[in-house]
Amino acid sequence: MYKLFLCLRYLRRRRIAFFAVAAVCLCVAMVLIVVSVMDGFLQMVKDRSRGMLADLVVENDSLLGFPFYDDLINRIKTEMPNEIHEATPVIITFGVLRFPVDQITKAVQIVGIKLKETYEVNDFKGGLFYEKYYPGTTTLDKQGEPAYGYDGRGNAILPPDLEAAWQKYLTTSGPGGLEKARQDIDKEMEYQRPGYYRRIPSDQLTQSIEPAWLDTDKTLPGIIFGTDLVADIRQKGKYERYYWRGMKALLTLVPFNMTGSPIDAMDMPKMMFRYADDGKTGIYDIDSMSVYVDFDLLQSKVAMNASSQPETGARIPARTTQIQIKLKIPPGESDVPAYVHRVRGKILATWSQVRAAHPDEVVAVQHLDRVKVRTWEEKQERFIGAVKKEKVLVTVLFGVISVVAVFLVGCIFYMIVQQKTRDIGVVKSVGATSWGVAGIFLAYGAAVGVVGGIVGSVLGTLFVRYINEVQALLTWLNPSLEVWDPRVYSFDRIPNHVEPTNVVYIYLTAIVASMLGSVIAAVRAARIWPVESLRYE
Amino acid sequence: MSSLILHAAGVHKTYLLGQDKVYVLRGASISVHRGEFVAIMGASGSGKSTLLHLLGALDLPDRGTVTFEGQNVFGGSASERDRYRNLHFGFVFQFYHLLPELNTLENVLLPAMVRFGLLDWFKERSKLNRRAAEVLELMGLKDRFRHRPNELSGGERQRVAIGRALINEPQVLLADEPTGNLDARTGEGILGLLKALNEKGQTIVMVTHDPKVASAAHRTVNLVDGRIKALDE
Repeated sequence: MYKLFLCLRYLRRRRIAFFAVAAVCLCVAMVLIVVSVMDGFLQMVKDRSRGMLADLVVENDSLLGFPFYDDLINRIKTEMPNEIHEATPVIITFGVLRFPVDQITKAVQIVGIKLKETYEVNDFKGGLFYEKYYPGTTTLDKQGEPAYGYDGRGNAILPPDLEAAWQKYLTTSGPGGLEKARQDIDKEMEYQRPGYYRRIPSDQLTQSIEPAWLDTDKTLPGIIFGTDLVADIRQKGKYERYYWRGMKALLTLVPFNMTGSPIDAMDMPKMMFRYADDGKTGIYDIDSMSVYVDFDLLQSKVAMNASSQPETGARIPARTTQIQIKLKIPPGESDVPAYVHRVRGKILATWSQVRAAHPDEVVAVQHLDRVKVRTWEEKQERFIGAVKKEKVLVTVLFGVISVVAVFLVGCIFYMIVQQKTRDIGVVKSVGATSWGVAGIFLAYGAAVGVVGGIVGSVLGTLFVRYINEVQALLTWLNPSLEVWDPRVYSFDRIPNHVEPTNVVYIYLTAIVASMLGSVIAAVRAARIWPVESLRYE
Repeated sequence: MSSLILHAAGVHKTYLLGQDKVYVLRGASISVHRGEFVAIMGASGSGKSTLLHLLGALDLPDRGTVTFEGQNVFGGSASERDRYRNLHFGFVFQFYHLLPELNTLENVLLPAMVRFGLLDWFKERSKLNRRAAEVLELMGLKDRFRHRPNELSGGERQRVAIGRALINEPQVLLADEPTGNLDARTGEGILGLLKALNEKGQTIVMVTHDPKVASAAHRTVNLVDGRIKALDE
């Protein structure tokens, strides 16, 4: 009984112990903040790094791609209807993008997709801007340029199909929909619709002008830009677009012949597109470099479509650089990775059948040999793995710093024992054992850990919870204090989720660490010889 | 004479003072009977306190034995000695040695807290609180329960210390210069208290250098050169 009683009394009465509690509290808060932010960061990286990737990706790591993809897609779709949700070919190549309006020219990654199928295999649709506010209006087909007109009372209005789509957004997005859209409506413009559209030129704003789709012939196919190619990110993750929807953009493509050499520079195909939409995967490197165009169009422009050899007339099959496969994961499946690996095995077996089915066709063998099926995690392993290592490193570093608290507890307790030798002698003289006296100080250490840990956990949790507000305050005080630049991290908010299991682990560690800190003092207290300490005042 | 309760036979004790060995006790022997009030007298440094500590199993002799009710006190383990001290002995020191963080009542209850584990404590708590209150009333500290040591006078502090020594109803009360730090009048009060306790049957062994104080006891023994010199039986 006396152990508990004395340790609680010392905790309350010895002010110096507050320093130990404060040290433990700060270390617990610090480690909790670091672990939570890094955990959140890792989770965000994992979620976002998926980018354009489906569950499984078939590819051969060559710009030349591989043939018989359509055969493979057909076979797996028909043979594995319970496992395959959708499979779609994707061509990835490179080229030069030029905006005729300001002559800006950039090197870009050009991604050929089948839009409707892509919507099915990954989260591409969720990242599209205009598709979000004007559902169903984004297409890679040939299209015109939408423009604002005026209703005669000074209000800007979009062409009826876009207005209808906007109304559809408002009705399907629920009560907060308009509020969310407001962030994307430019307050300085009189337009009350999200995004950037040009208006039909007119001197009198009060004059009624019909909104319209310019270029009624719809001569140009659509292109979707990575958002960072056409917009700047501002504070709070808001994007400011500097090109309007429907604007023209010129792509210069680089086709390769079957031996892998680019064709003569003078013959490089150029194509004009219209800005149909922009989208973000969340990864800056992708969103600042990628443009998306129609698969079939790109395939023919880079000479990856089916053709025949001019000399021999032999058939050259169409090629693609990737197949993205979305799986149907059974609802009750407990081991998803194992399931994905099983399906991958089946797809590889099907691929062997596909190869065997085309023995005579003229294809370079290496195109077929290198074909692999990877999960999206494997494809991004290097990136995610780096963040994982970073998390471990930072946690260990801060853990090491926290060892300082153990030493501080050790010093403070040693001092207390030093001051309390007489009292320890008294407690022993009334029959307390050496172990019992050591127990007082171990329990005291644990109590410091318990109290410091609780306060630290609460502080740390609150700090993480309001970390974005803290940063906003710091930035308001001094803009150079902004530590989290959304342009660098691709995420507009600092992760602010605290994992309860982390709190428990850190809390328990704090208690054990405080007890460790008190061990030396406890041993010293146990060794005090009562006669020595009681002899004098 | 009633039965022998405590007996020390030929106890030797040396201390190291730097490089030198100091012979404090050189074969001291003493017998204490149940209900006795014995005073051990001697000059400063004669080993009185050391003998008292050995009698109460607070220190270990180099040689010799101490028996309590016929049993060798130093025959068992350290924790057995701790238990023995807790149950059978109460110490009163010259400098009171109260814990400053605890109030009067808590100081008195300390040996009882050592005696009982957590569960037993909560079972016995009300009984023990009553007992502590009785002891403090006996000490004349009825209205001092919640006071801390620094709020009490020297005499009051020593009364609290005696109360602490009595809480577990020990067989022997060991007092080391209990009046040494008090003025004459207060000292007399404390001696009166000890006498009254003895009259009720409490065995007391008291160490003092003051013959006047020793005269309160039934019997005085002198400690000279580490041996009991004269028994005044």
